[in-house]
Amino acid sequence: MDTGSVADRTVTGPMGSFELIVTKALELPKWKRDGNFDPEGPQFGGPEFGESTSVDDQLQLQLQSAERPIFSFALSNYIIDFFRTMWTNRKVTSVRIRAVNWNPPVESYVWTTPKGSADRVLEEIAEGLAQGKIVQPVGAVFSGDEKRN
Amino acid sequence: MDIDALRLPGSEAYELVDQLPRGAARAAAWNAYVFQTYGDKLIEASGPKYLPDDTFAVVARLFSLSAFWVQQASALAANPSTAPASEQAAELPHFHTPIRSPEQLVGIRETADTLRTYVAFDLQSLTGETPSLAAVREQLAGVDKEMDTAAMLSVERCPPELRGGIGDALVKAIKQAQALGQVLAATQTDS
Repeated sequence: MDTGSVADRTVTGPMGSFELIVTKALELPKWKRDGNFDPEGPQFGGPEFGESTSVDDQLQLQLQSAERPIFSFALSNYIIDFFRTMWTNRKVTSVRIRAVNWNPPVESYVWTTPKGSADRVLEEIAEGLAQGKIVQPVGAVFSGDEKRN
Repeated sequence: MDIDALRLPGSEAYELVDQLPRGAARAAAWNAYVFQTYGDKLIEASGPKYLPDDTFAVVARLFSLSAFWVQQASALAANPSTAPASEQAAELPHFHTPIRSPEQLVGIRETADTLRTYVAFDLQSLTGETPSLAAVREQLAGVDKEMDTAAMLSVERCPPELRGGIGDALVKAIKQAQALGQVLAATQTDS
């Protein structure tokens, strides 16, 4: 099965017309801040940064001097993690199958399944939709529905 | 808090369940066995690191339940008219996070495997063909089905949805095996 593209398939049934979309089930890296962050340290706007004792001033100093390097450091870590994740995900092991009815309110249902079961699961989903049923095939996890106007 | 101190009071469960004759006391010991096994398998699967918060909370609860059921089994063995414990105390504790980590899944799978093996062996050792045993055999097939579902969902680099599905199937298998073990422990046989 080709993943990351719209399956060449539209199913029409009592619930309406659904387009079946198959995508790779990739996991993006989690956002995390630098573990060495120490707001009391001089490099992050601690006492060395001025005589002011006002909380507002301290906060301002921290925002100006601390958040920027922390943010850029965390961002660079995220970018590295992102590419590392892309590399480890290069071999897709599972897919998400989304059935979308584009007529407002847009209605979509999502299943996740190992790639090896994807063809069978897709067939069962299509057969179910044709009969007006949301099926829960064995070997797939149904993540529920979503409606948007 | 030291996890070894928590696990110690229920560690007797492993021997107790085999030593007691079939009946209410053995059924109580079986509950202790289930909880103690689950706790130990979760710890084993976590490796030599610190336990994650959510694992620790569940393991601590499991060991406390195991200790409770060991006491209950001993009390019932000494005096069969001891008041039975509430069914709530036999319920598996839940994780308070929705998705299981790969290590937690290993621990849960090992628990399900161990309980399934115990129940299947116990079933074989029973003689006679009563309606209740026929039903038990069917229920054992239900445990296998849940474990098969978990196996079907298991792939390398599992996304969170699949890990959630695997965890749910394995926990169902554990619950069914626990219920089966209860029936078997309380079954009186001709032999």
